[in-house]
Amino acid sequence: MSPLVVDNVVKHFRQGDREVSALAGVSLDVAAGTFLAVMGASGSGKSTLLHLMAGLTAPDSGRIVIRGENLAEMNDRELTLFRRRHIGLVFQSFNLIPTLTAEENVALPLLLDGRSESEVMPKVRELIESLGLTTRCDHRPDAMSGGEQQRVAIGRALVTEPAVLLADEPTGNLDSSNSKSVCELLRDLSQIHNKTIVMVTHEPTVAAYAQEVAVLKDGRMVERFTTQETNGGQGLALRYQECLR
Amino acid sequence: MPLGKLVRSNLATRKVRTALTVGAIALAVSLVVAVTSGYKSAEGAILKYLVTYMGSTDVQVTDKADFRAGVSEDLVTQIRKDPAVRLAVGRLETDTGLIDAAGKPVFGRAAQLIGVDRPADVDIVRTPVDAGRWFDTPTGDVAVIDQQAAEVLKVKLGDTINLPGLNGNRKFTVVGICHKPAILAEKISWIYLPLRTCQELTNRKGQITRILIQLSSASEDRAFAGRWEPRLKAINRDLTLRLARDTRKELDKNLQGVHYLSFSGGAVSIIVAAFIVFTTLSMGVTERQRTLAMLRAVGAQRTQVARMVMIESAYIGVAGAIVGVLLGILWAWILVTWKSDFFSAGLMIDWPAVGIGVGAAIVFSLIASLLPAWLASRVSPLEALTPQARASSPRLTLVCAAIGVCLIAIDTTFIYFPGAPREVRYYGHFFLGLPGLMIGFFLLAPLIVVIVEAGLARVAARLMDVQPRLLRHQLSGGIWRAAGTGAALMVGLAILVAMQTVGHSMLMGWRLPDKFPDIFIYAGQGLTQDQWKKLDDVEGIKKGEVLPIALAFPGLPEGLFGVIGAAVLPDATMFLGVDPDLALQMMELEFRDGNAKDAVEGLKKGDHIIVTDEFRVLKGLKVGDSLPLMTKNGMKPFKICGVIWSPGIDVMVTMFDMGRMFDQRTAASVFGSIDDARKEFGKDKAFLFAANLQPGVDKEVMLKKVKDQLGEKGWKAGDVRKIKFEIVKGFEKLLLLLSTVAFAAMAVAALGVTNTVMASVRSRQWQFGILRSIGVTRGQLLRLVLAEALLLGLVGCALGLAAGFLFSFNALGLSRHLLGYVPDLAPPWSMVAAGAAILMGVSLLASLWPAALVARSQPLTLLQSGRAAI
Repeated sequence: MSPLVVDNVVKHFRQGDREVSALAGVSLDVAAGTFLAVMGASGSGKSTLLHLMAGLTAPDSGRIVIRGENLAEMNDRELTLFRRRHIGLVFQSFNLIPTLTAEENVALPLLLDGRSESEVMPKVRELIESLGLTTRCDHRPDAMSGGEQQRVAIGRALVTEPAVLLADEPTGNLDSSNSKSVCELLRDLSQIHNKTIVMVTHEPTVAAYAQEVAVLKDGRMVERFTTQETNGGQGLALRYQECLR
Repeated sequence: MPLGKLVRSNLATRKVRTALTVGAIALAVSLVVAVTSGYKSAEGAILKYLVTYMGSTDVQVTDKADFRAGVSEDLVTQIRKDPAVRLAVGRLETDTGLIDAAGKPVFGRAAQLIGVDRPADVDIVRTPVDAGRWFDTPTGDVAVIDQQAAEVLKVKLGDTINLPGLNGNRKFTVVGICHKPAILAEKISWIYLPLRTCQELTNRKGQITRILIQLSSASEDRAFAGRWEPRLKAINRDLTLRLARDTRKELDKNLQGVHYLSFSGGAVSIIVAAFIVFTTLSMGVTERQRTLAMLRAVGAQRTQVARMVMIESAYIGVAGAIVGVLLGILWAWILVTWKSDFFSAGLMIDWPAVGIGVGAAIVFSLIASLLPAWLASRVSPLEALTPQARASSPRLTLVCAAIGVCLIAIDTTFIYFPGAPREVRYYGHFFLGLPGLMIGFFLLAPLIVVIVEAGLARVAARLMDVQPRLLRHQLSGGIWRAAGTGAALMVGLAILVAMQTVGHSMLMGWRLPDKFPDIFIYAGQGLTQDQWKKLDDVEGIKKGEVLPIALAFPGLPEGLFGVIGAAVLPDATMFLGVDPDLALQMMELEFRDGNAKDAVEGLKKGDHIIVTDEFRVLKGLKVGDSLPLMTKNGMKPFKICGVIWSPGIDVMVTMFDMGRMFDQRTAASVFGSIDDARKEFGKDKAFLFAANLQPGVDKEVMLKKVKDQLGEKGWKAGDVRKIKFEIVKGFEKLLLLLSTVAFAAMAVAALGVTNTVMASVRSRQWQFGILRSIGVTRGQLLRLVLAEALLLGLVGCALGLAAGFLFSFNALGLSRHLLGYVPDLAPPWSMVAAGAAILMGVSLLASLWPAALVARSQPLTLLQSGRAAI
């Protein structure tokens, strides 16, 4: 069974008097260990799709199923607990708690779950080490580079060993060097640690690190292909441009 | 742990804001602690003196209607025969005038003459003597005076003093100077004489006014009272036996009002501090919207987010309470040390009040956190993914305003709803109306912020000479922050306006009739009918225009004013016995029911009274109805022959320290005939006289002539209009003193303004950086921030004035139903304007520091720190 299934999802928004269709029947099946990049132009519905997958908003129709559980059937409390335990979220702007250290930020979801510090910390330190942040353990976000902050954010998303990791433009606020290192990290997580990752991006060079690419246009999925088919970033860019035409 | 850690790190990150909020709570708690402990220390000084003064006295006997009225010394002899009595002594207490070494009266200084039966009266020696000793005999021309009398008369040990007597002045050698606590000696001097000498001087041979009794066993006091009360009543029904423990209780009861007042000042400040806590938490929630959203996104439940805000509030409350208690004790200690003679019992901390202050600070902090906690819990996790924080919804502002108006209307509805029982009005006002007003105006605050900003931002910008566009949405951008600060500012002004308006309206309702006696003359020792006729012959007084007024304090029927009466109205009234013809000739009373002619006829018949309007408003009593009064022969109905608007003679009587106002409060007064005063209430003497003077006669000269012709009787005289003026002035001073509560609240609110302006400045550093980069000067930036403070002040003023006037309107409505007194609403506009100006000043001053800080910053620093904040 796939850890993430999106089944014919429809979502509308109101903009003033106008009703805008953000997603018009998108279906998606993400197999375990897959690193999927969702691409699309501005307003194509890619961020909305990610929000729906994270349970941050509910679809007008259709289903989002994670680990066999339909998110639409959960109330707010159940959804919050589910998100805490089974979904990892990475934001474009990192969104770390500015008053906590790197280690504390990573530990946060487990501590929110009521686990003791002594139980949590060995695991957190191990994770931080694997992210290459050992020397930054006690630093607060404002003392770290953008790349380091995003690694901490990824650590926080992974600490609960979620069924899926959802990343919203994770390199959007990073320079090319930091961007590359974050993309490699995500790829390794998928290839080596068999993590299921869905990443929203509009950058073909970033999407090239994924195994598969799904392209959205005007709220519909117009194409899904593997990055192997495109033979690198430039090929992917061309294919992407074709999809949008 | 994660919540606690988050809270602590958040508080530590915003150190200044946390310190200001803790400071506001600390200031409020310290006011509670300092005022209540100061009060307790003052009470301790009084009690210490009373213990010294009363010694081991278990029982006292006095005349409850007039403590100067005498009783035969034989009564002491009879009491001594009771087997339970170990010791019984009598004292004679009366008023006297002071005469300086040159033989001239010392005006403006009251003195009490006390005849002491030495050596039997052993307790008197407990009063410490600074110099000399207590006399040991019941006779002899010797005196012990207190330190204030020695200072006023400029005498020392061994010198002589003059005291006015019936047969002229008499000289006494000062053999001792005793020490009274400053709290008691400040207003009145005490002069102790041997008992027989005192009786001779005042022509009251064989008379005493107070009997002090020590029992063999204090536990027998109730049984003793049971035996003696009927016997005393048989002699004179006003003779009262009071147990020491009841005296203490009575004193506690009498001082309770002051005690509550000492609480109220601090309590108001705590409410203000709670608004500041609310503002701080609201600011925190607004600023951390993305953080809170992220917490929600990574799995924090709504309750966890809400709990985090409440824990933050609890930390602030506890820290503020601890600092406040220490600060309060320090202030009280400084006060007691500075005025050590006044606070002779030393520093006494009112621990229950400290407990209440601490508890209230924490509870109010938690209450203040409810709305921010709720708002925090409503933050959507989606906001973590959006670049801009969500703006406050205008719908929420309108909904809050609508709820606010409904809550505000509760108090007015309770008070003015036709036909509601008085109990419902009274309890409804205190338990639902007042909290409703406070919360209602707070909920109305966001709408007022929007209105003030829309209507007055241009004016504020023009006043401060800044570009009006820059002020747009500065307050409404952080609407709860501005609303909380506005509400904190509101409290002080609302209290000031309400106190002053209600007090002023009450005073304005006191109107003297156009035709009213010129002067009141008071004879401390009282005059019999034969004596008062002599007043008519005194030069300067208009012949035939001296009106003796016999005062009695008859009890009213139980429950006359119902349950509320028991709480706010006493169970006695002041009976003013007058000559009906003369009284109505000298006073043009304003009749609300009946007329002067019928009233005179009724009073002349006897068993008739004229009542004041309060009886009509409260009980619906009208001409022809009966009002039962407690006479010396029991309860008796008096027929009402007129209802008048009170000329306030009962109020003026208090100026002469008559009627034991300290422990016997009276309801509105009634007029009866002087014959009834004698027949029904046993008043053979009159102490008060109203008189008209010949044109151009000086009061003091007239008084001297009175003394010359009638001898020294402890005379005092007061021009009626001057008495009224002094009472009004005294009341206004009291109002001003009470208004310190409001000023304290404004001082606490100032911390809130600083806090808000700092937060506002902090959140716009980048914007200010850009403004400075494009050429805005430091001065312009400073004025821009001050303009925002001006708007905040205007929000506080709008809320404070509205709340203050509405409260005044309701309070006067309540006065109609509880006291029967219905004055018109008469705001003292100058005081109201001063209050509003002070509030604006507080707002501007409190914002100077953050305004100066931002104005001094370099543009690049602002841009960099602004970006970091983003």
